[in-house]
Amino acid sequence: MSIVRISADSTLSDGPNPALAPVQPRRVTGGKAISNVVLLVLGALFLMPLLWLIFASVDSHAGPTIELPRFTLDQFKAAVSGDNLRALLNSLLISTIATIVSTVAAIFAAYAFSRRHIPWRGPALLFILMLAGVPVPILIVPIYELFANYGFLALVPAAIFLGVTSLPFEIWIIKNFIDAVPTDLEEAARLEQANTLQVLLRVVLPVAMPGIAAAVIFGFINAWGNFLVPLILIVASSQQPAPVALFGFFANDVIRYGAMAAYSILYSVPVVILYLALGRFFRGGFVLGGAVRG
Amino acid sequence: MEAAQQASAEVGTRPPSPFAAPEVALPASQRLDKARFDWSSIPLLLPAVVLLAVLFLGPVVYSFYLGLTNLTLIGPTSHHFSFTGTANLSRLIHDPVFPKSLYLTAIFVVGSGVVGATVLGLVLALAMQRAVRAVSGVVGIIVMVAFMLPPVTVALVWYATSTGTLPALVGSPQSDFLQSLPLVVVSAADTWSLTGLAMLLFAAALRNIPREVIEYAELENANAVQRLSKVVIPLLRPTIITTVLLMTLLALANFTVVYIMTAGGPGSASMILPVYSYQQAFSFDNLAYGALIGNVTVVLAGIFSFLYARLVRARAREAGGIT
Amino acid sequence: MIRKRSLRRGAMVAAVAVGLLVAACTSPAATGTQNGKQVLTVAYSSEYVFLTPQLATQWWHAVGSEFEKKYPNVTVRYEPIPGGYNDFNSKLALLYRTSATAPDVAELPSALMGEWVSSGDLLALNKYVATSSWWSNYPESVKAETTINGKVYAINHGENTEALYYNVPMFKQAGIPVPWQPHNWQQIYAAAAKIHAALPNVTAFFAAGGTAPGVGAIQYNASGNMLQGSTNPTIYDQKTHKWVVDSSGIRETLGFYLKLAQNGWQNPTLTEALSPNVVANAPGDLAKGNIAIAVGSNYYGTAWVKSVCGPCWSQGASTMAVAKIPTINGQASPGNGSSYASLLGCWDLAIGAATQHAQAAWNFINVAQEEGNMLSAAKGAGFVPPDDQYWSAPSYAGVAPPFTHFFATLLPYSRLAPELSQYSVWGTGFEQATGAIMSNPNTTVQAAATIMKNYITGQMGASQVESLP
Repeated sequence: MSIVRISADSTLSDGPNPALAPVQPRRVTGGKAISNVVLLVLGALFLMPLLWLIFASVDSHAGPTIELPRFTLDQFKAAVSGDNLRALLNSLLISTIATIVSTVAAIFAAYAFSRRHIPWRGPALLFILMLAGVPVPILIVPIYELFANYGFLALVPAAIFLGVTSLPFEIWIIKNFIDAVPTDLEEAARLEQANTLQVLLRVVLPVAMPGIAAAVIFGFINAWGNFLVPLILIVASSQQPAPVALFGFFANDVIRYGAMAAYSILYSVPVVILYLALGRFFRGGFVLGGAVRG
Repeated sequence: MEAAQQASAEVGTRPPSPFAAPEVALPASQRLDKARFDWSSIPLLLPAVVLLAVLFLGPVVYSFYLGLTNLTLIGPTSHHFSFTGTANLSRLIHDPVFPKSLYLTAIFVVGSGVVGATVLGLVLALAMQRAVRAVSGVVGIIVMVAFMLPPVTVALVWYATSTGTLPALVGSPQSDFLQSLPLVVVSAADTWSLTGLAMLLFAAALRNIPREVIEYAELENANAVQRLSKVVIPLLRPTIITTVLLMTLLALANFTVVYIMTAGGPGSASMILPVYSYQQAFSFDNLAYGALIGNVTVVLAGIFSFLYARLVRARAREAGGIT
Repeated sequence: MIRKRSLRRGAMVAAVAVGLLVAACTSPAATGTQNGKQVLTVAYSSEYVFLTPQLATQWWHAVGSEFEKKYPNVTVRYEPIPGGYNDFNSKLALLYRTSATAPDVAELPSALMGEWVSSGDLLALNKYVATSSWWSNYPESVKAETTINGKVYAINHGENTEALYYNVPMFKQAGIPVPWQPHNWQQIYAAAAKIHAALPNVTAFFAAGGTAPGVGAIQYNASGNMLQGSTNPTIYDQKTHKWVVDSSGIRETLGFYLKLAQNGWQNPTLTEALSPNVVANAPGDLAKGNIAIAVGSNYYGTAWVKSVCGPCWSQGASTMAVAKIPTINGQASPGNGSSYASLLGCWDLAIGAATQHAQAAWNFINVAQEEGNMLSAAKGAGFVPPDDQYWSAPSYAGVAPPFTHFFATLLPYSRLAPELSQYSVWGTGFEQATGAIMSNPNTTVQAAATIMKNYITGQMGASQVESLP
């Protein structure tokens, strides 16, 4: 099937291979122009709802509807006051644990499903996929009782559970990307006496990285934004993460919209950093081949 | 090799061919043509299987059982509850809100997941491949921020947008789109927050398309539209199908944003199944009935998965496509 | 060499991290002993009851420290529960499910008292209140909130009552004499009409409704309170044990909403009136100065005060005045004979039935009921203290005059909503009806009442509901 050796070296991914002749500039310009316009329009559409968030975070009289801000930085000061920073740290902890648990388990399982013969593989995969559509609220009460009986109502077990809720998706995403990796690479590696783990880590993973990066982001965000699971499964308030702390701005009798907006912006920062760090897997032009094997 | 020769020698007259399959049934462990289950697959599968079985499957099965009991969150049947058989099922059938909820869920899931997030994600990913690096970087971040905002913030942001920003933009500042078009607004909010993931998946898949394939199409004088429709889209077909399915399931399982924005209202105008399940379980304290409605969602997810699996197999067969 | 050093450092970091993580692995035991002292778990809402989360932490820790000083062999473990009303109740219900996590002392709403009691989670306190000095000072209606079948299951922590807030400058501008106290609903309509004529750009009467804010909002808005003033305020028929889905009272209340909607007296954009956060926004909405009359709760006045600032409104006391909500025809209301009406809402302190430190828990509640603590709770949460001795006390009345004292005087005639979990179903049906009228002024009372009846009957089944004349 594949006649090219896909380069696993990421330094080649960010620009055209000088070895290949450039395509006719006119077509490239046309395509580029349309792409830029489309992106700008869609970008504006996506930005519009965020305008409220940005304005409210610096508005001393922020309310539920958009208005021109009376500029102040007090909202950000309120956002980092008290336990809010610790809640952000807890969020980082929870999401990191959840992502590690789910991605590692998913990589191994996806590799097995993709490359090995598993009896009833089709139905098993389908079943796992179906689990992805289970709404978390119906799992909450049984899980709570299980954890309560073993004294697991704390941050780490809750994080592990959150990781498990994104496991079905991650298995599917990663498996699809491992499927796309040509088997020649592995065969070559096995000829060199590599064992399964080495094949997986050194050959398959680097090539399937875009898919793994997508799965990591998905798993991280699934845990990052979750409010219900920590609320129910964590008892100690010092271990509660940011979405629960967000509710602190939402008190029954007065809603601090500005501080809530500022806190939400702070809360976006780690994920944006994660996206930028993994971004090289999504940016850039089409992957180009290295030497073409005839 | 010896086995093959032995086998053909035993059978008889045909000259031994080194490529002939053994014609005698060998024990399974020695057959070379049929795929075998490799025991080293077990440690690979074990972490995922154990985690899913204990923390996911177990509760789901238990939840199916709870759906047929009279468990409540508070009250006389909160600690000591009993199996009530089909009582909850008959309540479900006679519940006037349930069919409406099913219908709304279908619209919500198809509108925001299948159509909204997938299409937008694809368009964004395609455009990002060609656009100026700065533009695609900034737009990417905006879309990703939308994806990763916590549900409470998404709900508030869209509340402000549908009651303030949008009416101002379309020139009728007194209107309240959240009241007049609740399902549309929550679907828009859901699309807005899911598109980032679709964009990620497509961007990653596009990166796997070898440049040579595009170059070849260009050499054949295919214009941009033809390149797109005849080359790129078909190559992306598996990702498209997977993404559609994932967006569907994510929309199906999503409830927090809708619950915070409208709580299913006004009336039952945006009462999608997960919200109804949550309302029954945690607002009305009917844990068992809420679990039953949640189980319906799980069954729906199963049906969707099955249909999509069929679709993938059918297309793979007809197109002989690259997966 | 370098590699070894960084390896060792890495190992140290990993060890510390693992140590921290292990601490975050297991849940704190809800009860038992620690350092030889008894541990008393106290669960409370961190966001919903007090006007700000900081005030909640402040109050509970103050009571806890005072208690620990008095009883040095007990330590308090605080369990603040985050989230809104439903999240709080759900979490508390889950905590009660296992004895390992059940709190010894819990703050809980009276709205679900019947349910908490029938689930067997609360300890009967009769023998303890018999020894208390303050229980006899509580009005009967207040005591009835926490007494089921003759047993006292919780102690009142603070009350909410409702009345009409009106904007004095606007009334003067419209030529309505102040101070204003309507004696029937016609007089309310007359005032609203005058306001609307003189000041067409303000909301003459702000009445929230609809299902968005949840059933808890019925306590604070016009729907539940006008119903209390109708000719038949019954929500749950104690004799037949059925929920009332249609009655003259319900129709009169829906008629009230219809009158507001049809005359354009209600909030013109509807967004705020139908908002899910209307309860939390209310003090702010009034402070913006666009509303002439509104049904409001006692805590608004406290919210405007500088030490609370939810929001700050220094002109609050001079701009807004209060009037009691009258019955529809000025008639004596069935049951309490008052010609004024209000719903009564309340937060209570209860002891868990599974507790192993009942006496210590009672001691804690005793400390919480001391005058200083009751008054600071009243200020921080915007409560009316249940003990009538405090209503005129300067430290209470002086917090937000004239509001604080005024709302306290409403306690005797304020009535509770049914303390059963099905109330949330009834309330949802009721709110659907009010929401339907607000969204469509051309509808009829009949149509709205049918929506309510059909919804509740559909949810509860025909055997649980009834219609009253």
